[in-house]
Amino acid sequence: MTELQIKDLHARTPTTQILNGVNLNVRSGEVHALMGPNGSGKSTLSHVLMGRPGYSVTQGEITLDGVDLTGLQTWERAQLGLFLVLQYPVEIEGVPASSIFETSLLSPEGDFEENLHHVRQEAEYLGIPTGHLLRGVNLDMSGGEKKRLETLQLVTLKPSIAILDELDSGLDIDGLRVVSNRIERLTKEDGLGVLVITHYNRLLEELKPDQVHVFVEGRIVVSGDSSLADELESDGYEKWMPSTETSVALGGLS
Amino acid sequence: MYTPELVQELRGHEWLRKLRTEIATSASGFSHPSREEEEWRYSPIDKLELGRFTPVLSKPLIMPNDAKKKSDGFHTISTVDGYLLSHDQLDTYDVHSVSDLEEPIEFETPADMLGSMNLAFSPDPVLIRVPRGSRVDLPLIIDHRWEKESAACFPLIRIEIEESAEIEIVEIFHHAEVDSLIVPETKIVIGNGSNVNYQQVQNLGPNVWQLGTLDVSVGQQANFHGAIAAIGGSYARLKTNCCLDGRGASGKVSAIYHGNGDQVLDFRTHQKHVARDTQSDLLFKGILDDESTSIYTGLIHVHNEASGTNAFQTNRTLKLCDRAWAESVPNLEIENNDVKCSHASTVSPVDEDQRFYLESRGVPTLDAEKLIVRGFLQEVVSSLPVEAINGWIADLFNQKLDTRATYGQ
Repeated sequence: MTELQIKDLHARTPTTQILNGVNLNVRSGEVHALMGPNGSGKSTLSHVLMGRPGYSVTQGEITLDGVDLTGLQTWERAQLGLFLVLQYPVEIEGVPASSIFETSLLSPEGDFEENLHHVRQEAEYLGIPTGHLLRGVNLDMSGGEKKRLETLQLVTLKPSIAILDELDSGLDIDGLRVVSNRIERLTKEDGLGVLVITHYNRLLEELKPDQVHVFVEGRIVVSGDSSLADELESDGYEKWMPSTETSVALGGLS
Repeated sequence: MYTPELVQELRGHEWLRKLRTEIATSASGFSHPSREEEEWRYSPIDKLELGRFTPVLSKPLIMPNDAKKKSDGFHTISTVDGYLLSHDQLDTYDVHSVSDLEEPIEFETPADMLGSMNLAFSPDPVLIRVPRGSRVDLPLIIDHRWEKESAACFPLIRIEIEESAEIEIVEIFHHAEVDSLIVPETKIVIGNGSNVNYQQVQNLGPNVWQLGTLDVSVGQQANFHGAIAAIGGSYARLKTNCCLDGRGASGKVSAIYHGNGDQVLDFRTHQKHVARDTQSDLLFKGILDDESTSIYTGLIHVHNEASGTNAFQTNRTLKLCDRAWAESVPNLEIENNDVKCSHASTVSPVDEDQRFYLESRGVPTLDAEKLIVRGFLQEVVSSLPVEAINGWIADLFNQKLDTRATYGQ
C-alpha cells in the first residue's frame, strides 16, 4: 500500500501565489478526480507534486509513504513511484521512447530485449505503431498519439501513484476508451493510485473515481463521490466560485 | 624562423624547392592574422606566438605503434608531423610523395599567410590521384599523427578525382599529448560526374592549436558529401570552402562538435556557387560545456552566373553550461535572382521542459541531459558520409560526454 499525502500545500511562482492550502490523500488502487475551472491551479498542483523547476513550496508538505518529497529532484520522486502524464507532452528530437525505457530507473530489471518485447505488446494493445517507439518521442505526433504514448510509459514503467493531467485532451473516443480501460486495469490489478485532472465526465465514466474534488483558486473547496462530477457537468462551477461582489470588494480594497 | 633559407632544408626536387622558396619569400609580405580582420573575428589568434613552434625538418624515425590499428577494412595513408610515413598502393588510386616527383604539379597560389606557410613548409606534400571511372572499394583513411613537442606541422594533402570516379575518404587528426601548432591543408578536386564522401575527425590533444583548411571544388554533375567531427584541440579552427564549379554540382557539408574546458572550436565556411543549377546544404550542430567557445561564421555566395541555385545553411549550438559562449554568424551574398537560399542559426541551453519530461519518467538529470544532447546531434550523426566509421565517431562523442560528472553548472 502506497500513500501520497498532500497537507496544507501552498506554492508559488516567482510572481504569483497559486496553491493556497491543498489537502489530499491518494492511496494505492484509489482513483481521485480533480475538476475545476481554467486557471484554478490544477496543472500547477501536478507540476509542484512532480518538482518542476520554477515553483516553490512556501508552506505544507508532500509525502510518499512518509518520505518528504519537497526537497527531492523530479527523477528522485519518479524513482520513489510518482508519475506525471503531462497535459502537453514535449517533443524531443532524436530521443525515442525506447531510449527512455532503456534509461529510466523505473524500468524493470532483467533482460532489456525481454522488457522491450513487453513494451511492444503494450504498444500494440494501445494502438501505437512500433515506428513511434523509435522516432523522437512525441515528434510529429497528433495530440491523441502523444497521449497513447504517455499511457504506454505509464503502463510499462509501473509507478505506484500517477497524476494524469488532462489525459483526455486530444484523444478521440476510441483512444479514450482503450487508454482509460488500460489504466483502470492498472488500478485493479497493480494497485495504481490515480489523481486524474480533467474537465470532462467521459474519462471519469471509464475510470470510475472513488472521489471527486472541486478545485478553485488553488485549493479543494468540496469533495464527494462520482455524483459530484455529474452535478458539475450540469451546473458548472458557479456555485463554488467566490462571489463577484466579494471579488469587486477585494479589488476595491487593493 | 620561418625564412626562405629554412625551406631549403626540406627534401624535394628542384621545382619544389624553387616553389617553396618563392612562396616563403612572398609570405614574408603577408601580415600576421589579426582578430581585427573579419575572418579572424572572435578568435584568439592574437595569442598565437609563431616563434614558440619549430618546423620539423627531418622525418621522424619513430613508427607510431598503432599506425596500422584500424587498417582492416580500410586503405590507409599515415603521416607523422606532416611527413608521409606509409601508404597502401592500389590499382584504383595512386599515392605520391610530392617530394619524390620529378615533374612539377600545379598548386593554386595561396591566398593568405597560413596557406603560404603550409605550401612553403609542408615537408612532404601528398598527392592522391583517383583515375577516371575508378571505384575505390574500401574507405581510404588518412591518419595524421604527432610526435615532436612544440612543433609546427604542415600536412598538405591534395586529392584529385578524375571523371566518373567514386571514393570514400576519412582524414583523422589523432590525439597526442603534444604542445604543437598544426596548419593542415586538404584540397579535393572532384571531376565531372564523380561522387566523393569525405569525413574529417579532429581529435587533437588538449594543447594543440589547429589552423586548418579544407578546400573542395566540385565539377559538373558531381557530388561531394563531407562531414567534420571535432572534439579536440585547444584552439581548433577549420576553414571549409566548398566551391560548386560545374553545372549541376552538389555539396553537402555537415559538422558535429563538442567543446569543453576552455576549448575554442572555430568554423568558417564558404559555400561558393559559381555554376548553374548547383546545390549546397550545410548543417553544423555542436554542444558546448564549461567555459568553451564555438565560433561559426558562414557565407553562401551565389555568383551572377549561378541561376537555379539551391543553398541552405544552418548552425545550431546547444550550451550545457551558462559560462559557455557561442558566436554564430550566417551570411548570404546573392548576385542572381533565380535562387532558393536560407540560413538559420540558434544558440540555446538544454530545454528545461525536455529535461523535466525525461526526469518525470525516472531518468536522472545527468542521463536526461545526455539523452537530449545525443538526440540533438543525432540528425547529423545519422547521416555522416562514411558509414564504416560512424560507430567509432559516435563512441568518441559518447566518451567525451561521459566524462561529464555534473549538470547545469
